[in-house]
Parts: sequence; structure tokens; C-alpha cells
Amino acid sequence: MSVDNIIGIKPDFLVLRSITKSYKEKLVLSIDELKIGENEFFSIVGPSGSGKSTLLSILSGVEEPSSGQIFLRDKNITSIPAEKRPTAMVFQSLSLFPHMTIGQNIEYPLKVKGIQKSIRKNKAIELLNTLRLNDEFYEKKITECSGGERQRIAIARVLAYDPEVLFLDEPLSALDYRLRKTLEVELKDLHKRTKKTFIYVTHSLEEAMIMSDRIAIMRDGKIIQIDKPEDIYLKPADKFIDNFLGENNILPVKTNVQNGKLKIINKEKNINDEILSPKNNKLKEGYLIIRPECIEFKKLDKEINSSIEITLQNDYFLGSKICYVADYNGIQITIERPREEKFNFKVGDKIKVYWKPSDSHFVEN
Amino acid sequence: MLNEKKIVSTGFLMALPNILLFLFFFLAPMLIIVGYAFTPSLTFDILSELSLENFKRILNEKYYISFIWSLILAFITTLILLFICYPVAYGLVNIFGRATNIITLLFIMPLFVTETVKIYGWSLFFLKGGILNGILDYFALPFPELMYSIPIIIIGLTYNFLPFMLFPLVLGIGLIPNELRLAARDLGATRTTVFFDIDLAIAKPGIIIGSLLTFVLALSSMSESRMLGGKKVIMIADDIEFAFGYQQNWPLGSALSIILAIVATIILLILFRWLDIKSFIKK
Amino acid sequence: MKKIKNLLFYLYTICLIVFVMIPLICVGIMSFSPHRFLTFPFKKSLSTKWFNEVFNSLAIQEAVTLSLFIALLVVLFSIFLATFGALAFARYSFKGQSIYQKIILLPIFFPQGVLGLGLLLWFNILGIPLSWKTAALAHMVWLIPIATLIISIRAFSYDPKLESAASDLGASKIQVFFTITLPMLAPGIFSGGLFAFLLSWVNFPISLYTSGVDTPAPLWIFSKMAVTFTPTAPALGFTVFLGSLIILLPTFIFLRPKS
Repeated sequence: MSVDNIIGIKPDFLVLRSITKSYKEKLVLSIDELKIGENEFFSIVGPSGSGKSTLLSILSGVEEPSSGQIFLRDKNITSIPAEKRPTAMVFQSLSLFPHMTIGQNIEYPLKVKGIQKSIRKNKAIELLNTLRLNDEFYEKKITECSGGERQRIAIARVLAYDPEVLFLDEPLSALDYRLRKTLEVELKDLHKRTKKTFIYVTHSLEEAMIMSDRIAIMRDGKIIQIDKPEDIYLKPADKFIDNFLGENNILPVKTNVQNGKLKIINKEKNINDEILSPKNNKLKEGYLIIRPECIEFKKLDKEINSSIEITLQNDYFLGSKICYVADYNGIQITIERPREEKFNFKVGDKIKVYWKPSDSHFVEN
Repeated sequence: MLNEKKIVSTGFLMALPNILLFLFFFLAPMLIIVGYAFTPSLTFDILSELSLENFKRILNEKYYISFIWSLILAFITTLILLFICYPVAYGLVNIFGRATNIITLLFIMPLFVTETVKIYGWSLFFLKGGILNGILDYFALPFPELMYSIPIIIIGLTYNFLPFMLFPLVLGIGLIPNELRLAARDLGATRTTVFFDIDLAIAKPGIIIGSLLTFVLALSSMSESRMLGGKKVIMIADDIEFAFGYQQNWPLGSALSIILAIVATIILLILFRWLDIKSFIKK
Repeated sequence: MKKIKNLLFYLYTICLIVFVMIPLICVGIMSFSPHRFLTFPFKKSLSTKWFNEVFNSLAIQEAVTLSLFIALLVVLFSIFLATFGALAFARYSFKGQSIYQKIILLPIFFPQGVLGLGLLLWFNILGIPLSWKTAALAHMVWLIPIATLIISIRAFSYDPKLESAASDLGASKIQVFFTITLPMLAPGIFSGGLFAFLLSWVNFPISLYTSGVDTPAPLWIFSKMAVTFTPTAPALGFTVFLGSLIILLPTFIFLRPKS
């Protein structure tokens, strides 16, 4: 679990130390240290119950931690209540005020500060346009808007507060696929334009990977990995994260101390296959993970490959790629190849497949 | 529902008994009262002549004073109840959790006791020689003579109609999702600002329904002022009863009744417009 | 901070509950008074002689019986009319339904004194002599709408598709009514009937004008309070109150009706 120092981002902008949270004697959150950089798009990913929402509540000030401190620009903000922190949250349910018009909603942070009506209105319209909504929306009611529009209004409202840190709690989870994809791109773009720190909570790792500078993965109240998206994808810290990432190939292996290769373990039969270990591997026993798109049906020249022989069971056409499902002594192997590569395989064929050891990743049990 | 051509729809048939009951035993009596109101005073033959005598009497003999008193007392009662009940309603929605049922039961209970018994209980409490007197004597404290005064009437009214303010308020406050309050605070609003911008604004239907209901009931009440207030203040319903009973002046009583009935009906119809839109969506 | 705030709410509510209990407690205390007239504190020890009178007096027994008859008659009619009325209110649309919905609730909050008097005049013109039966009818005018409202709440909350599903599967309209509709409405019908019973039982203003010579219990209490003071009246009042409580309590625990 390492914190990368990303070039161009000021580290130590938002720091959590020794944060814990318990509800009625039960520990739900425990974090030693978390550092988020200024202007970073930082995502927190995890399934329900992983503690991500609790972490968000503590960061935004809605809840107090049971112990630990939070620092913003080296200032201790742990006991500062939510309304006084320079942070604002877009709630999962959006929490738009149903009895106010859209304009009144967006203006609310400004109204609370005592800013004049005319200035407020201008700012609100400006924000509507920033979020690609036209001026007409100012007078409309919330009930007249679609899910995607409401999403944008909630974000506009939060921007009106002009916070230093924006929290987003699963904002896209209720939207349909197309809308989500559109808004993911827009959010990323908004982040670039507004240059604010975004802290984004979601249960979809895929979503986080599209938008984030770094991702923290949580499980059972702890952070198990913080990395850039590519690193999480290629080197998931454990099998759990792997499940997140969808179909992946997982081979149980044991290091052969004599030759440094990996022996594949299989409880039922005796397999004597050995494959190459990724470089600098120090683990003795665990799982070797290979992404489906890293496996090929032909030997890769100039490289030393690992290889195994599989039996083809099925293949699927997935648009731009073809997915092959095969069996290797009871272990399911998934291979994805681009549509253009043509092969004449039949179900039941025994085929040899190859991958580069550096494309594989060894994790512990 | 099968799509048959019906002469009369099922819904209408089902509503019919209630409609008939309403027409024959609610609307009809009211029309009779209207009839009597325009009958000369002190006659028992309805509409023997058409006359505005009763209404003239109401103006000249200052009956309208009781009406004004009724309006004032009803208004004060409503205002007091609004402030008294709001915290309890807030508690019932947001704080009491499992105790909510028991507390609700305790507040509903008085509805199932005869009015006169409740008012009697208050007179037992406040009368000279009564329970409060006894308790204060025990602690050697002075006993304020509260019976037969306006404050006592207000206590009685407040007591009797408390549930009718409390439960609409509970409905209204129940409409506020707590997250809205959090969101407002997150955006910089103080607790007070949140209360005015969010709580009151969203609970408005409940507040209005509770107020209208309490007002109309307090306006029409008959026993409190007579039994607790003595002759201090006469409310309109007392005058009506007096006219019908002691004075045996049905036309006068009817004229007074119409005024009360019209005011009550207008208020109730306004109330039902609010009830109709908001709370049935919630239900 | 939060705990103190919650505590304050509880304390305040408890004070209000005490306020609500005061008259009831006073009535209760007076029922056990050893004296005939109002003196507090009691100079002698508590006595149950007034309760004895309540249970032995013929006049009281007659009054209570009358109240019971009235209430039962009211419940009987209420259950039928209110069930159908509720279905019309909530389920089956027809022309004029919205007017129906608004008007039908009017008698509930209408000045009861005026209603009672109006009915008195009306019965007079119709030539119907006043008795406990006319009182029962008068009660129905304002109680059936209440029962209708209560059952409607129940009717709004169940899914009408259940009925379509049943008729889809071959059930006739009558079968659907008895096997689906009625059972779904049952809790509402029960609450509605219960409320009608209890509210009729304790009603005063309407009974006052429409009972004629008959004296249901609330009128009896009133006459005793207005004319001669005897603790028998509060004793009866208290007994009725306890009776209502005993009926209400288990219902509340098991059914949780919403207001």
C-alpha cells in the first residue's frame, strides 16, 4: 500500500491520520494514513459495507471520527463542522430542495452568504451554462428535469459554494448506462476546468478508472490499495480486487525454489506444468493473475513466454473483440482477442496459449 | 375491471349509500336550518314568511360579539397549539424511535373520552376546594382562582383539540428527508437558517392542515366556555344552544348556526384542497 | 450534544403528556372520593362506593345499555357503508369522484352542535320521534365518513393489480371481492369499526339534541354534573375511559393504525 507522489500535484493537501469510526462498539472504519493531493481526482471504490460512505461522511464533516485527525493544508479540521469546512458534497440522492426552483437551489449557498439577488442570478446562470444546461432551467422546478439534468444541477449547486474540495457520493449509480458514460467524461472534463480537488465514491471500479488520478480500494473498513488506475488494473493487490475487475485468469501457484519457476497447483490431478514467474517475485505461494487480453494464441517472438495447453469450450463475439472460454484442468481460462485475428478453432480443440511473464501478476493468498 | 358498457359505473354505485346518507341526513338538515333562519323569530312554522328579522337581531342585539369572541379564542388556541405541538411532532418523527407508538397512543387517548368528562376533570382540578387547591395547600402555596376566566377556557380548548394539531404536524414534518437538512448545512446554512428554509417550507402543508382543523373545531366548540368559563365569555355555539333551548327561538338559533356553518364549511373546503393534493400522494 | 438535545425533547414531551393526563387523573381520583362533595385532599380513606353505585344503579345500567345499542347499530351500518364508500373513494373512478371525495369528509369536522340541532329540526319536520334510534342515525352521519376515511387509507395502500390478477385467473367479480378485496381491507375495516364504536360511545353534542327522552351514558354524566354533584358521574366516566383503554391498547400494539 504505497502512496505515489504524482508529479504536479501538491501532496499532503488533505491528510487523514489514524482515523477510526465505531458504531455501538463495532469498528467500521480504520485508516492509518491517507494523503490526497490538491486538484487531484481521487476515487474511493468498494462494495457496500466497505466503509467508503463512512469515510466520505467523515471527510465532509457530516460525521465525526471516533478517533484520529483530518488536516487540510496542515490545518486541523477534525472538529470543524460541515458547514464551516470549505468542502461540499453531492449526495447520492442529490438532495435537491424540492420546494425551490432550480435557480433557487443553485443560488442557495450564495443566498446563505448574504449575496445580492442580481449577482446570485448571474452566477447561477453561469453555472448552468458550465454544466451545459441552458438559461431556461433557472425558472424550472426539479420535477420537470430528467435524472441527468438533476445530476448536473446538484453539481452546479455545489460549485456555487466554491469549495476547495468536492465530494461526490455515487452520483451516477442511478442513471442508465449511456447517461453514465456521457457524464463520466463530462465530470472528468469539469474537473480539469474547475481545477478543484474531487473526491469520488463509487462501487464501480470501471467508472473510477475512467476518471481518476488515483484510486483507493476499500474492504471491511480498510484501504487495501491506493494506486493509479493502470497500476490497479495490472497489479491488483489481491484476489478480491481482482473479482472487481471482471473476468480474470487466476492460477494457483507455488514457487519452485530450485529453478525459480512457478508450479501450478491443482488439487485433483497432478499437473507438472511450470510457468515463468514475473520478475522479482518474492512470494512462495499464491495466485498468478493474467488479464484475458494478455494471452495470445501464438508465440511472441523475441520474448521468453509462459505457456499452457487449454481445451476450448466456447467462444463469444463481443463487438470489437472475441472472448474465448477454455478449460485448463478444471480452471477456467478466459482469453480476449481483437476481432481481426482470425482463428479456426472448434470446441474441444487443444490449443497452446502464451503470455509474457511481465504481463502476469503474483498475489498472495 | 372488465370493460362492459354500464348504465351506471360501479364506483358510483358503491358511493351511493354514502351519498344518500349525506344528502338526506346532512344536507337536508342544513337546508332546514337555512329555512328557519329566514323565518320570523320565535315561530316554529318553517318559512311561514320570509324574513330577515333574525339577522337584524344578530346585529342589533350584539350577538355578533360572541362570534368575534369565538374567532379570537379559536385563533389564540390555534396559535398556542402550533407552538406547543411542534416540538412533540418533531420528536415523534425524528427522535423517539420505538417509543413513538406509545407516545402516540397517549396523545390519542383523550379523543376516546367524552368531552364533558374531560372538561369536568379540568374543573375538578381548578375549582376552589379542588385538586390543585389541595396540592398547593399542602405546600403552603397560594391558590390562584382560575376558574371561570378566559385563560381557563383557552386551557380547555387547547386540551381538547391538541391531537388535531399534533398529527397533521407529524405528517408534515415527516415529509422532510433528513438529508436535505444535511445538504443545506453542508452548503453553509446555520441550524436556524435550515429550520426556516427547509423544515418550515416543506412541513407547510401539515402546518396549514393542523391549523385550519384546530381553528374550525375550536370555533364550533360548545362546552368549554360554558362549563369552564361561566358567564365570562360566551362562544357562538353557546348562543346557538341558548337560542334553541331556553329561548325556544328556533329561527334565531338557525340564523346563528348558518353563520357558524358557513365559516366552518369554507375553512374545511380550503383544508380539503390541501389534504387532497399532498397527503394522499404520501399515503 | 445530540444526547442533551434528545433528552430535552423527551422531557418536554413528558410534560405535555402529564398535561394530557391531568383531567383524566382528576376524574379518576374523584371517583374514589369518600365524600359526596368536592374536597381535596380527602379527609377519609378512599372509597369505592361510587363504583358500586355505577354497577348497581338501574338508571346507569339503562344509560349504558342505550349507549351500547347506539354504538352497535352505528358500527353495523358503518362497516357496510364505509367499506363501499371507501372503495368508491380510493379505487373505482366515476364522474364526480373528486367532488365526492371532498364533500363526504365535511361532516367529520363540522360543528357537531349545529349538526345535532339541524337533525333535531329535520326529525321534527319529518315527524320522527326522537329516541336512541334517531341518536344512532345522527351518529352515523359523522362517523361513517370517519370510518370511510380510515378504510380508504387502507384501500390506497394495496396494489390494485392484485384484483386484476385474480380476475385474470378466472375469478368472478364476487369472488375477487370476497377473496382479495375484503381481506386486504380487513385491518382498515377493523380499525374503522373500532373507532366508530368508541367515538359513538363517548359522543355528547350530537346525542344531546337527538336522543329525545332517552339518556345514553354521556348525557347521564352531563345531567349529573350540571345538576347535582355526585362522584358517581366521574366514576362512570372513569369506568368508560378504562373500558376504552382496555379495548384500544391491544389493538394499538397489534395493528399500529396510522392517524
